[in-house]
Amino acid sequence: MFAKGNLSATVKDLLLRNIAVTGLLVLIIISAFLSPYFLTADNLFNVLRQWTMVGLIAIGLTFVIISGGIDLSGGAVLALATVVGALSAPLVGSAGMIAVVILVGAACGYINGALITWGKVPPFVATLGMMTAARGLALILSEGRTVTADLAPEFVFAFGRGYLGPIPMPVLLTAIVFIVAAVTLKYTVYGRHVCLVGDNPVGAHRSGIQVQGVIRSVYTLHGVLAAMAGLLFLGRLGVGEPTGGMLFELSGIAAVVIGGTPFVGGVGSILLTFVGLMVIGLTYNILNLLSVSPYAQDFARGVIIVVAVMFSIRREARSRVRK
Amino acid sequence: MTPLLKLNNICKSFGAVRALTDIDFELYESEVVALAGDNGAGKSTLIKIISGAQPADSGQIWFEGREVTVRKPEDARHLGIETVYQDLALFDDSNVAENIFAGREAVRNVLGAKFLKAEEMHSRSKDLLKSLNIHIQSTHFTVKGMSGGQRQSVAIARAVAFGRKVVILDEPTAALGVPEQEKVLSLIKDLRSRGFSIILISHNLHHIFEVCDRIHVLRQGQTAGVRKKAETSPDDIVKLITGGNLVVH
Repeated sequence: MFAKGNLSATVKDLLLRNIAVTGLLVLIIISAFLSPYFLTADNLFNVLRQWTMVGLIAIGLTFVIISGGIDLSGGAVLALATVVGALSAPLVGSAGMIAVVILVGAACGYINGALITWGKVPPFVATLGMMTAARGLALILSEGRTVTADLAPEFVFAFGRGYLGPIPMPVLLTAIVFIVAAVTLKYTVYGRHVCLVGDNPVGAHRSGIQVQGVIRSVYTLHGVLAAMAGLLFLGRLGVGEPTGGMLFELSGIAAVVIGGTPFVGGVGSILLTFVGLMVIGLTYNILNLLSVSPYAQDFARGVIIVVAVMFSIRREARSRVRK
Repeated sequence: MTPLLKLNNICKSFGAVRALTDIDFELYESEVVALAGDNGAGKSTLIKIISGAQPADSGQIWFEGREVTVRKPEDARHLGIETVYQDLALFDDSNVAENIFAGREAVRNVLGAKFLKAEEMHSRSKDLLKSLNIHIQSTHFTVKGMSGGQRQSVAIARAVAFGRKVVILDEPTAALGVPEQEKVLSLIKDLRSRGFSIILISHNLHHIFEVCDRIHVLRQGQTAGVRKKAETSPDDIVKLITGGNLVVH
């Protein structure tokens, strides 16, 4: 539908329909005026790198929320992944460690999905349980301490401190995951079925879609992505941290809803989740650059998240056409 | 002529409650049969058995002259029987083409991943709607904002796509305005003229008499009577439904 008509009309339409995009542009313009450091490559790549972990969790959350669910266990699964990774790295090597960590994430996510589909536990409760249990397990395994890990330099390069040209490796990895996820959601049968399940589970079942299987798959995907975020944490900080990733799930949820994905499911966009993520990330960044007191920052962030969501939900109510 | 769909001695109980007793039912090609009866007469149970949502306790089902087993919705769908339920038939946030193709999307395999053929689905949906004389501006619109009649039309189009032979319509005109009801009724007639066979559940005798060839009346889980439209009257049907000799009106 954007193909026809002239460019300016297209841009106008895009801005009016996507308040998150407009908000992000306004935020960037205002911030550029407020701080000379804001629009520098160093600063922007810094922001991107800071938000890779929340970004990965937000991708998983986009799928979960579109399917009509919610997952609160992202931050805790990340912490468990870092501890398991730090403990297993000396035993199984880098490649083995990556496999073990991803498997742990997948298991956590699958258990969430199993509890929700077979156990009939509401997603909020099931994943709240997983959040507490995974955090507890991370504390047990690490005996409550930060676990220092001997990591191969290749691993640290690829997942933490390396650069490809000016681009930090974690940013590159996360960008690839964002693109693959966006294509999957929009252009594949799997993505379509996730939307249908969130829109109308009874109708989806009658249409021959394996509703329960789709639900288990989105939670498993979320677990895997949270574990990947754990790998980035390990690569960046080189330690397993049982209290790491605290409240990442809430930032992730905020990014998804600021992007305009409604809580009731059925529709959503990975690209707009990225926009939502940047709205949050750049807000944090400009408040830091302006040396606003941390207490006032918390207050401002809270207000900005609520206002952003308010606008994105209004937009949702108005839009009728879907490509 | 052998019936397209034939049910013999169908029985169904829920615990101590006999929902259906020895039901015989026939549906011929290019025929609209109405299923009439009071609330609780067994209409819904009967269509659930035909559509595979609930298996029968006993009895036989024949389709195109062969005895078949229908125990799951997929069984019925494989035979070419599709049901349009009164509620929850559509996906509000999905567009018309996505609704019509839900669960049976046109795909292209790329490196093992199943990609959607969106353009093909839109053009095929457009052709389908055109062939059914259903007017919808664009297959890109979500069904959320559509009128009840348009929604019902999309739901019916979805049911008759992909070479279906039998369509079960559960109260298709309920909750619609009068002009919209007329549109749905003319769509039903149109489908019959194209060779579809339709089982119509309705409480509205005017609608039943407008589109049906035969009327199968259930009362308390038993067949109260089967009448050809030409040989009966609304009063006669009301008598069968209520079981009394009262003349209503």
